Parts: sequence; structure tokens; C-alpha cells
Amino acid sequence: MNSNILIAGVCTPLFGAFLLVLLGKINQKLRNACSLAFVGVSLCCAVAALVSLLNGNVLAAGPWEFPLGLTFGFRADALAVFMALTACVVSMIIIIYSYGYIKEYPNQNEYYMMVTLFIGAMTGLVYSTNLIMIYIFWEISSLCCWRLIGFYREEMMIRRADKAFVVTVLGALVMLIGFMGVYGEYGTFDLNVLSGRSIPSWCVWCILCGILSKSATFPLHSWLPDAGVAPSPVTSLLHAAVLVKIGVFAYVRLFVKCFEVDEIFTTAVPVIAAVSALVSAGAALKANDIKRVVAYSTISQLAFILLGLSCGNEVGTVGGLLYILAHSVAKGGLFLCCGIVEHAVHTKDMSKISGMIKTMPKTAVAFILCALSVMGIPPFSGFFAKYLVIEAIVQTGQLWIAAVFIVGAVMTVMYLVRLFVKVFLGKPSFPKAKEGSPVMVASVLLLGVLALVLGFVIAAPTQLAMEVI
Amino acid sequence: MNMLNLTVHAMLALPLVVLAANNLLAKQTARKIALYVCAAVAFFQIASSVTLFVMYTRYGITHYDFNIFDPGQVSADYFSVNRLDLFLMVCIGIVVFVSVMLALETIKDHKRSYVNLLMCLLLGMNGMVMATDLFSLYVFLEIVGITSFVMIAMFRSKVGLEGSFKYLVVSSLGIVLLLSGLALIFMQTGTLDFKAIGESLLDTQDSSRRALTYSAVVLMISGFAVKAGAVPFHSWLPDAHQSADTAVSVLLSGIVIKIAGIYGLIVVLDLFGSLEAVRIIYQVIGLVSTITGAVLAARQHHFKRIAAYSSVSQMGYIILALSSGTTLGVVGAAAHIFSHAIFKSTLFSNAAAIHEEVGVLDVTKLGGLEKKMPITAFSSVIAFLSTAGVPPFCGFWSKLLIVIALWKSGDTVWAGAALAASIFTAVYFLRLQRKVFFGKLADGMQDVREAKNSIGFIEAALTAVTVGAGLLFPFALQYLQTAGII
Amino acid sequence: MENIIIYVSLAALLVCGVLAVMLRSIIKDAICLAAASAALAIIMYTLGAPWAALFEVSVCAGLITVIFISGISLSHDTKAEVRREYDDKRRMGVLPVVLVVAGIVMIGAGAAIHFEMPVAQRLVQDFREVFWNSRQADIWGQIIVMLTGGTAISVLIKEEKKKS
Repeated sequence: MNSNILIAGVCTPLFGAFLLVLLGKINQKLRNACSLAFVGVSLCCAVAALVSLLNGNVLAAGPWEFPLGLTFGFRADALAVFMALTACVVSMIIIIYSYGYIKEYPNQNEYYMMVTLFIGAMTGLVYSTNLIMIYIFWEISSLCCWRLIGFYREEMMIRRADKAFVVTVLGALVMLIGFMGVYGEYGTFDLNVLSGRSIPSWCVWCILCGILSKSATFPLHSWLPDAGVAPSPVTSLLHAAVLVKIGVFAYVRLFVKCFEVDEIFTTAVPVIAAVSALVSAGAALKANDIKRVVAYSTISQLAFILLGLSCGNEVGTVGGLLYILAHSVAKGGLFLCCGIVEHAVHTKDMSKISGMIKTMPKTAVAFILCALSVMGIPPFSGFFAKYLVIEAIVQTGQLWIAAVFIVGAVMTVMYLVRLFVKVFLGKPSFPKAKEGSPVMVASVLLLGVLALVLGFVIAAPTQLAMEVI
Repeated sequence: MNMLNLTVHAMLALPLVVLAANNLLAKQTARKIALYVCAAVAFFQIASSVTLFVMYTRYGITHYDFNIFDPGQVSADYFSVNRLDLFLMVCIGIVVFVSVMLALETIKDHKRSYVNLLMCLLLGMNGMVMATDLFSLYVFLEIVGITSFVMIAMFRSKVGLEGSFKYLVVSSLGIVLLLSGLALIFMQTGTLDFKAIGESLLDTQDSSRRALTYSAVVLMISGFAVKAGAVPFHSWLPDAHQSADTAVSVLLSGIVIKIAGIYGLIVVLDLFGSLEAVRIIYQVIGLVSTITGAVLAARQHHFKRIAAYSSVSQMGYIILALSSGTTLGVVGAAAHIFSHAIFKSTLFSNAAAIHEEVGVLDVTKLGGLEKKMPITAFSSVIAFLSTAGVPPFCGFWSKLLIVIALWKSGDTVWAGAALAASIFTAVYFLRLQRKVFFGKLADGMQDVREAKNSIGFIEAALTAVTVGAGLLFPFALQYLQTAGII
Repeated sequence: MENIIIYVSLAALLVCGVLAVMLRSIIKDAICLAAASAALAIIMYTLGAPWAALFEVSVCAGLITVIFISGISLSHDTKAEVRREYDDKRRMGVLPVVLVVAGIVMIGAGAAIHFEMPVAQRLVQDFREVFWNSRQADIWGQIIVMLTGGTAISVLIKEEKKKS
């Protein structure tokens, strides 16, 4: 019974995705509903796992032993449940948003199939207990990303999709070399067996390559802003809320929970994160495309998350996890708002858009809510997360990194305010532009409110995050 | 045992019966049923090989020796079937089946000629894997060679004859090298039997004899490398593939270069694998082929040339697997032979579909075909992902096996280089996808329709095999472990 | 004495082989091929392989030349020549030079390395015994090779029959 819940949670979206193509040929509304339903099943399974976890019982499936160290299995520990809940909730809202956004474009069947497949891969990844399983789901998510970025089928967009694929897959291949190094040392890929072992530093560097490429950290970050050519729900789902969290999740799963790594990494990784945060914040200040600004912001915030997780102390881990939650909700909402604006005025150039608050007030409200969370203003959830991360880095004594991050946080405020002022305030340049469809507006408002509400009930996620350590 | 004897004899004789029937029956009848009979023969080969493999595992048989004429006794030069041979025969059967499916649509006028040559080719390949003597290996290798040349030139077009001639010349060079190697071995041992060679040649302190043995080994490896299309002997592959009909290209890339070339390299590894030099040569050839093939593929314009260079690259992986020198390495190589047969067949099926429906294979002129040819596009994406080693398809698993085998035998740097080189595969395939399927519909493609019957069927079937083999691969590994192979 | 015969035959083999490739008239090419086979047969006999020499002379120098010449006369074109575009005297002229240089290099290398040739073992069994009993796989191989060769030729010349 226990194991079936986990298997159902992973396999329903994973295999159900292919069913969607057939359903789409019969009835579009049915397909849309089923897509949401499959992800809903995953969410229910995650909730069931949470309930079970709070009762002290960790759900697990397997382990199924195969030769050559390939012992597969699923395990819903606190970290997995935390990530699964975050991913499923945000994904469901984004799928609802898609109903409004995608309905006038071709290739819808493939869209829903890839989105659902991606959620399946994400759930599989967080529950996996084997390095090769993690790799398999990692690559499936790269594949979905490739197809989804190229949704509009323009040549330039396909090139961008190819670039994203190449960068993330190359990072993953180097990561696989790192996994092979672990296998060479211990003869297995099973995380249950490898728990607490120390691995050579070169393996850690290789695995870091994969993590940095997937979570768009400097210098492997350039694919993310370019991927803004995708439809907005895609950008929101993949490049803000879920896909880019795979890298930082892997960091926690492997280097915080499982392996013992050399001390040097508690300095090296925060430095890399610091550079990434500064560079991307600077780029966000100068960018003129609304989605590029938000994309650079994502890179910057991911650096924050990585910083928190790599501090090596408990405060940092909890802070990082909370930040994952807060950022997924808020940044997902920001991208969706940009999508509504773009849908209405058909351009992403900031210099051409202004005064949208007059014609789309609800979107503006949602935007403000999400942006305040990202900026880290109390009582939004983002504030608590940012505070914990900075406290963590101060605890390690590397004050100059803390200083860099505070600078980064200030720059976050600056570019987000700049974006809002330019796009929403001022004289309306598109007086006839209408508000987005009800479904779309409802989704973004829901995310914005969620960002605020989470701040009030921050104790609950914090408790779950503390179970992780 | 009787059924076993009958089956292995059938592998060597049934195609001959079909060959005779094809030529003796009335022309009209022969033309109608010939291809279907070929498909049946291929299917029989797959089914019986799988059955025999399971039987071997069940009863603990490792190999079965038999004589072609006197069933009871086993003379000096006989045939032997072990499990690797059975596995290779399954691959042969699969690719021949795919080729027949493609030929149903693409070959309109020369059906009987095609069937004749195909049956000879099948006989040659079966004989090669079952041979136990280097000279018999050579004889059957020549059969494979002759049929390949003529199949490429079958339609007697200028480009066909030229491609075939290029293949003929380069292949003759390879044969000369191979025969020189055989001569050097025979000079020392007086026999070319597999069993007798290995033991007697290697344990000698005489430096001139060692020099002769090393020369023989290098010559043999060069000869087989020519046949396998490994760098630096790969120049014939693209022209041969491009100028042949797609049904023939599938055979060439899908199985001929493997049986004629890679199997020969496996034999050399079997006999002389304890020499460090052999492993080093395989490593170098393997890695260089992998990278060169992939880099060159990224610049090609013709669909089939991209596929040909891709084959060069994948042969590099297989040779790298062999260089580990362990059983796991050979298993990895065999798995990759299977994966490559499947995804390369899919790719060539796509080429056949595009050629039949659109008429042009220049990728710069194609574009956005996925709207019009969804099955072809879907199968090409699956084939691309399998080739690039993206999970969960069988190409990923076979590559992982190769990397694990190399890592376990201590060649960690080579394994890492092989893994990193996978990205080149992804690059040229992404280009192919972008130019042909994944984009906006090109001009003049409005009336293109989906691939016809047998081509569409085989694309779907091969995709199903890729996905199925990928999902079930860990179970296959478990089966191999219980069978005592890994 | 034996060595002289072998060296002269080798030289004849080389010269006839190069001529067979370089001459433009196809009949002359076939005749040079026959002469090369004959030279090879002499070498084989001198080295102690009478059966091989017999087969070489009867099949290569005899049967194949007959087939070539009948094929050429059946096409009613006794002046058959290699097409102009494939005849590049400048590039072909390099061939003999390369062969001579390669030969000198190989002889020099052979003299420099000084290895002892192992003594070849004489066959203890009669050739016929070996051929029919010990090498059954090869018999099967030979049968298939002949069938394949026949099939290949018939496929290649099929077009001719249809046209004429």
C-alpha cells in the first residue's frame, strides 16, 4: 500500500502524459482536465506522504535490486515531500493558467504532454534513491525543456532551445562522470548505502557542473535568459518554479544529506554563488525585455538559494529550502504576469510599454505581491527566507560574502521597482489592451496571495524544512 | 539436441532454399511473394536465436559445435554457436527484417535481384559469426563484401557505381591487410584455428616471433577496422551510404559494418586480448572515431551522410567498449550493437519515408515536416534521444554499460572522454531535427503526406522496441546476471 | 636458382599488375591480368605449393581470362576502352613510382630488421584429405561464394538483357 502511493504519484503524470496526446485528438477540454488531474494525483500522493511523515512513517517503494549497483527505489523523506509539494502546487496553478494562454496556438497536445511528463520526471527525481535514477529523470526534464522552449517553432527559438539542451545535457554528462567516480569508489549508485560516505573532490566538482548548469549559475547561466522565447507558462514552470530547482535540490540531496564533502566547498560554492548573484543582478538592471529582467532575477535568486544551502549549517539549509518555496511561488507569479502583459500588447520591450496599471489593475496587484516577496519585504514569505540565508552566511564568518549578498538584495529591489514603474506606471501606451482572461488573472492572483499567506503561516513549512536536517 | 542441430543448419541453409526458389519460380509469383518470404526468414532467425539463447541459459550450454555435412563428428574446421553469436544473429535478423520492410516501398523494379543478394548476404553474415577458423571467417567475409558491393551498385546509377567502387577499393585494401596478418600467423603456427592460435603464439620469448605476432595483430586490426568504418579508414562510409538505396543503406550501417568489422575485432580481442597493445589500439581508434564521426556529421547536408558519420561515431563507442578487455565490455559492446541497429534503422526508415514522400534528402531544403509526418517525426526524436544517450531509451543503457565496463577496468579517463563526447552526438542530431522536423514548414512541402504502410509500420515498431528495451533494460541485466554472464 | 626464379616472377607480377591497371584497352588489361596470374602461379610452385599453383593457373589465368574475353566480344565492342574521364595519365604515372619506392623501402626494412623466418611446416596430410574432410566449413563457404558471385554478376548485367 505504502509503496503504491509513491509509484502512483510518479507514474501517473509520467505515463499519463502520453495518454494526453490521444485524448487531445478526441476532446480538448478533456485533455486539459486530465492534465490537471494527473498532476493532482501527484499532489495527493505528496500530501499522503506528508501525513505519513508527520506520523513518523516514511513512505518507501522498492528497493529493487539490479546488477552493477543499480538498486532502484523511491523514498518520501522530508526533503522529497517538501519539494514535491512545492512543485505540484505551483505546477497545478500554472496548468490552469495555460488553459487561457495556450488555447489559440497550435501544438497544444505536445505542450500538455510535455508539461505533464515534466512534472512526472520532477516527482520521480525528488523521490529517487539512486544516482542513476536521478540522472534519468534529470535528462527527461531536459528533453521536455527542449520541446517546450521550441513551442512556437520559429528558427531562432529552436536554436535557443537547442542551446538550452546542449548546456544542460553537457552539465549532466559531466555530472554523470562524477557519479561514475562515486561508483568507482564504492561500487554502487544507491544513496541509502552511500549515506555518510566521503567522496573525492573531483567528483564533487563534476557533480557541481551538472548542478550549476541546471540551476543556471554563472558561468553556465546564459541559456536561461535566452529561453525566454518560450511561452510564458513554460518559462514560469521550467525556468522559475520547477526545472531550475532541480539543481539546488540535488545539492541538498547529495551534499547536505548524503555525502561528506571537503571543507573547501563551504567557501568555494558561496563564492561562485556570489559572483552569479552580482553578475545577473547587474544584467537585470540593464535589460530591456521584461522576461529577460525576470530571468536574470531568477539567476540571482537561485544564487541566493545556493548560498544558503552551501553554508554548511542548519540555518542555511532551512533558509535555502524556504527560499525554494517562496521563490517558486513568487517568481512563477511574476513570469505569469509578464505573460499576461505580453499576451495583451504583443511585445516584450520595456521601452514600448507603460501605464498598464490603468488597463490591467488586477495583474498589477498580483505583480506587486509577487515582487514584494522576491524583494524580501516582510511579511511576505521571501523575507523570512532571505533573512535566514543571510544569518546563515554570517554565522560561518564569511562576512564579505554576506555583504555581496546584501548588495545583491538591494539591486533586486532596484530592478524590480524599475520594471514595475516602467511597465505599469505612467501614461498608458496601449489604452485598448484588455485584462487577461479570467483564468489567467485568477492564477496570478492566487500565486500572489499565496506568497503573502505563506509569509503568515511560515511556521508550517519551516517545521517541515527542519525535518530535513 | 536434434532441434538445435536442425535450427543451426537452417541458419546456414534456409536462405539458400529461398535463393533457389526465387530463381526457379515463375517471375510473377516470385516478384509478389519474394520480399514476404525474406521477411519470414528474418523473423524465423530472430525467433529461433532468442529461443536458443534461452535454451542455452536454461541447460547451461555455452557453445554448440557442428559440422555442416557430417552431423555426428566434428572435424578440424567446423562451425560453433555460442551465446554471443546467437545475440548477433538476432541483430542480423532484425536489420534484415527492417530492410525488407523498407524495400517493400522503395524497391519497385529489382525485387528479385534484391532478394537474391539479400539471401547471400544473410548466409555470409551467419557464416561469419559461426566460423571457428580464421580462414573460414575470411571466406564468409568475402561473401558479405561481394554482396554489399553489388547491392550498392544494384541500380547501376552513376553515383551508385561510384560509391560501390570506392567501397570496393578501400575494402580490398582492408582485405589485403587482413590476409597479410593471417599469413603471418599461419607462418608461425601452421594453423588458423581459433583454439590453436591463442595459446601457441603468445608465450614465446623469441623477439622476432613476437615482432611477427605483433605485426600480424596490427594488420588484422587494420583490416577489420576498414570494414568497420573506423577512423582513419572511414572515408568510404558516407559515399557508400549516400549512393545506395535506403533499404541497402540500412543493411550496411545497421549490421554489415558490425558483423564484417566489429565482430572481426571481437575475434582479434578474443585471441590476442592479453596483449596490452591491442587494448591501447582499440582505445585510440575508438575515441578518435567517436569524436571525428560526430564532428564531421555536424557539417553535412545530406540526411544519409549525417547518418553515415553517426555510424562512424557509434562504431567508435563499440570499439572503446571492447578495449576494456573484460566480459562486461563485450556485453556493453553487444548491447550497443543492438541499440545502434535499432536507432540507425529508425533513422534510415525516416530517410526512406522522406525520400518517398518528399523526394529530396538535402536537409537545407527540408523543414518543419513534423506537422505533415507525425509518426516519422516522433520516431526520429526517439531515435535521436537514444543515439545521444538520453535516458530512458536503450541507447542510454548500452552507453552506461560501456562506461561502467571501462571504469571497472581502470580506464577512467577514456570513459569520461567517451561520456563527454556524447554531447557532439546531441549537437549534430539537434541540427538534423531543427532542419528537418522541428520548425516551420518549408516552401513546397504543403502536399507532403505521412509515410506509407510498411515504412510507417516499421518506424512505429522500432520506436516501440527502443522504448521497451530502454524501460526493461535493468531486467535484461538481471537476466544476464542469473545467466552468469555479468 | 630458386631465388632468381622468384625474383623474376615477382618483378613480372608487379609489372603486369601495373600495366593491367594503366593500359586503356580492356582486352590488353585482361591479358596482363592473365600474365600476372601466371607469374604468381610460378611463384607458388617454386615455394612448394603445387596444388595452389594449379588452381591459380587454371582458374585465374585460364577461366577468368576466357570469361573476360567472351564478355568483351559478346558486347560486340572489341575496341573497348576505359572512358577518357577515368584515364588520368598524370595521376596514374605516379603509381609505378610509388610501387618501386615502396618496394625499396620494404626490402631495406626487411634487410635491416634481420628476423629469422620460422621454418614452415610441411603439410603432413594429403591436400585432398584436408580439403574434403577437415575443412567442411570452407566447402560450404566456397559453394556460397560461387553462388554469390553468380548472383552478383547476373544482377549487374540484368539491365543489358532488358535493353538488347
